[in-house]
Amino acid sequence: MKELAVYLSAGAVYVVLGVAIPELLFSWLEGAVFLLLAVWVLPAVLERFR
Amino acid sequence: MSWVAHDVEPYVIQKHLGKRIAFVPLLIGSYAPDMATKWFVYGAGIFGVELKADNPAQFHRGWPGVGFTHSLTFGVAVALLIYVIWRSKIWALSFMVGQFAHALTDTLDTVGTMLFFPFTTHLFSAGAWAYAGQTGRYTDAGAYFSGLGFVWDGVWLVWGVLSWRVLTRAYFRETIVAADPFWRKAGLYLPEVALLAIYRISFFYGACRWVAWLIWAHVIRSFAFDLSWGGPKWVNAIRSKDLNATGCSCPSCCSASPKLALSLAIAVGARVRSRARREGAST
Repeated sequence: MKELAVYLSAGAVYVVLGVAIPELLFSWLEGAVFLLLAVWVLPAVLERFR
Repeated sequence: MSWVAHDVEPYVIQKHLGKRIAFVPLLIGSYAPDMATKWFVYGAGIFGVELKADNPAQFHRGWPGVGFTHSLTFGVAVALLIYVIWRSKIWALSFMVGQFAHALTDTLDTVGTMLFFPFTTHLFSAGAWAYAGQTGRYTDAGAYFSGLGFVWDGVWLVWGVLSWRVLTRAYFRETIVAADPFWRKAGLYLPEVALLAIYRISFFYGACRWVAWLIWAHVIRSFAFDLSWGGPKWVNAIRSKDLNATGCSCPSCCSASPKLALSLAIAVGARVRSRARREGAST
């Protein structure tokens, strides 16, 4: 459930960013980088600082 | 063209084919027809120089042009090439299935695809939603998310959500990794959480874009919904008959084709009715 929550949060942020800056929605690569940052890199960094 | 279906179709196909398919080539196949060409349809600026096709629809789907990338023959040819180079049946087959899904989905717009190129340049088109790539990507987005295109994508998204098990960690371990050595090799460099994110990216990207474009088109901007067949009518749609300068001489492309089809339908209907009458009289 925690994993699903992380993906849903990432999705909500991506949708808001996409609506604000539609240019982002054209790039699969930027979407991929965003998801990797949101569900892998960021949680790993936060875990390290805990 | 489709904006989200190509992202989500591979997950639905994956659900039905399980270990008989490899996800990475399936996804590459699903993107392949537009991978190197779409930027030239919409145009791109490089060092102040604007690069764009003179006739975007002709370039994208026609011949002369790169419309052959949307043919079933292209899928077979690249799959054979993959097999010759890597000797992997599953990679070749998976690419072909993904590419077929893209080529068939794109037959639903008003331009369609040359499914059987080079045997014929006929564009197979159901004409369900307007092809408006020539108007630029923002108008195209507005048109697509106002017509039946976004409904079609929605169908795939719902189907994808109903196939949610393919997105789970257990399915990834038991089926995706087991079917393709790519993931085991990638696992040497990346943790499982990153591999899972890579596997799920296209679903995430497709679902988020579908929501974001709908909000953008109808809340931020005011594009009008038009769910009629071939709509939205407010955009100047390109149709299959507008492409391929030499034209196609097959019966369905000839001007007589609607009359021919109607005559055929009446003849078949009359025959079926007379047969039913005869059978009714004999019993």
